[in-house]
Amino acid sequence: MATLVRPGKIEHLMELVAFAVEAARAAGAGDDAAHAVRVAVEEVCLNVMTHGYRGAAGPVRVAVERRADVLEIRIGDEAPLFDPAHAPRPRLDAPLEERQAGGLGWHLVREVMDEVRHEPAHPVGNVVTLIKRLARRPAAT
Amino acid sequence: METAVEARGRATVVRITGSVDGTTADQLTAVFTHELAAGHTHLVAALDGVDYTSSAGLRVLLGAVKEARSAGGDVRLAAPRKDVLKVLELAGFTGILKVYGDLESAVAGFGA
Amino acid sequence: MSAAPARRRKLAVVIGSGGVKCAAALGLRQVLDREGIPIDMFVGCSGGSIYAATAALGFSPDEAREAITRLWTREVTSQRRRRALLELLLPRTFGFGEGFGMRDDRLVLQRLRDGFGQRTFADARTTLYVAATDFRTGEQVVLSEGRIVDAVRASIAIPFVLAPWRVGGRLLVDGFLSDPLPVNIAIREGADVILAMGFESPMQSRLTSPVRFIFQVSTIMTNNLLRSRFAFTSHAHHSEVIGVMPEFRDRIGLFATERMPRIIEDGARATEAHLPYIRRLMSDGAG
Repeated sequence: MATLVRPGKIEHLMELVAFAVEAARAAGAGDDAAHAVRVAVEEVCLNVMTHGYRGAAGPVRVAVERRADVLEIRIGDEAPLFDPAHAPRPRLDAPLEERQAGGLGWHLVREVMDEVRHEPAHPVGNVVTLIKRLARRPAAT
Repeated sequence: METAVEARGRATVVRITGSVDGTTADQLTAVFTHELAAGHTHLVAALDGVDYTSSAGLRVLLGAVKEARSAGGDVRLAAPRKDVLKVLELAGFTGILKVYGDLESAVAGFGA
Repeated sequence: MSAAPARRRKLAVVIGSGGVKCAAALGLRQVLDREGIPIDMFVGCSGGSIYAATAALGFSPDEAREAITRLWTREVTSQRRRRALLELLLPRTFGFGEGFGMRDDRLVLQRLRDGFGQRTFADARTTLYVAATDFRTGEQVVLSEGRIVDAVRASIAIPFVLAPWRVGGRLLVDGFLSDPLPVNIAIREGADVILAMGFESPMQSRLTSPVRFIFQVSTIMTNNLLRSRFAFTSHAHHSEVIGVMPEFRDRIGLFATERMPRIIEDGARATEAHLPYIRRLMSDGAG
């Protein structure tokens, strides 16, 4: 399992995404899966940074692990609880555009990943788990 | 990510190269906003140089196309690469936007 | 905002899948005609394609009602194909193929030809788009040229009931499979104000037969698809998508043409409810 922790500020976004993609490839992800990882991890991390932390300091942790033919990516934060199942975020003061756009991002994450799970972290924060089924590893020669 | 703007027939072409993501989206929004404010409402986004877009790119696009259409124009897409096209399809954007295989067709689509 | 001169907004009417309930579109047309509100574009899907085509070709609502009542009788879709069951049970022996359909479509075709003749999209006075689904890829296919008969026949090709229809090298089936209410087409083709007349399928009351069971599955999926597509396209559009969705007092079978007068009234009533807003949108010329 590979892990990277970075402060939840936008200047670290690409580093977290790149880490996830490289770790996925090292675990055997092909082009399709790597692309899916890039899209989904960017969306989840960006979401944590802009809506979770809202500019305040807080870590974002990305962990990548392969189990059998499944790639599991866990993205953890210490921001207020936010369950993507209820996206877009029901903030009534947010402009309509923002809420619509939020829904778009989560829709994309669900489309490229096979499973998306959310759990609260303890004592505070969220863990979003992204699951991508990989093609079977070729038998060792 | 880089952009270059050129007039082509009735259309204004915004050539985009690189990656449209959470760190570059605002930059692209500014380009579209600038062109629309100048009255260039027949826009073509030339995407052959774009290797990647995330939902951030989709948000920029949606905002731009709505504004263009409100002014009687449109934003059309030309030559998206495979990964970019996939994201557009998954998000349902190919259903609401005109996507062309090449720049010439996209420009021609706006009429002579 | 720019100081550009106000331009007239383009009005589109999208008629979704719904069998004879689509006749509500005639009520909508009556109201708009009465109000002098011109329609710039018609988009039809499945049963809605018949109403969209007649409208675009210039049939008045009365002419359309008369023609459709005359042509779309119950017997049109009750023409059984005797071989169909055999093809289902012994596919290889009896040659089950991509052209499968439980119903004989010869009468359907004849009636469509009686109604539309050789007319093509080019004969339409108003812009017309007909939605079908590519049977191989599941993608929405928009038909906007060629013969009207071919486009409508493809758009109403309910899988299992009518055989898929080949148009332009693609095997097409009913448009409802990709989107029962294709508002996206109106958006992509530059409409401003969109009147979307869609119909949710009623749930089966009793699941007492395999056919009802299958229909219930299809109904659940279609209604969910309708709602999610409608939500997305409403959000993605720069201007208004107005859902004109009549409430029908009683359950209406897909082919109950005797109910048409009432259905037309319901459609007119649903349109009247939105009329003040429609008038405001169309008279305010700003983009």
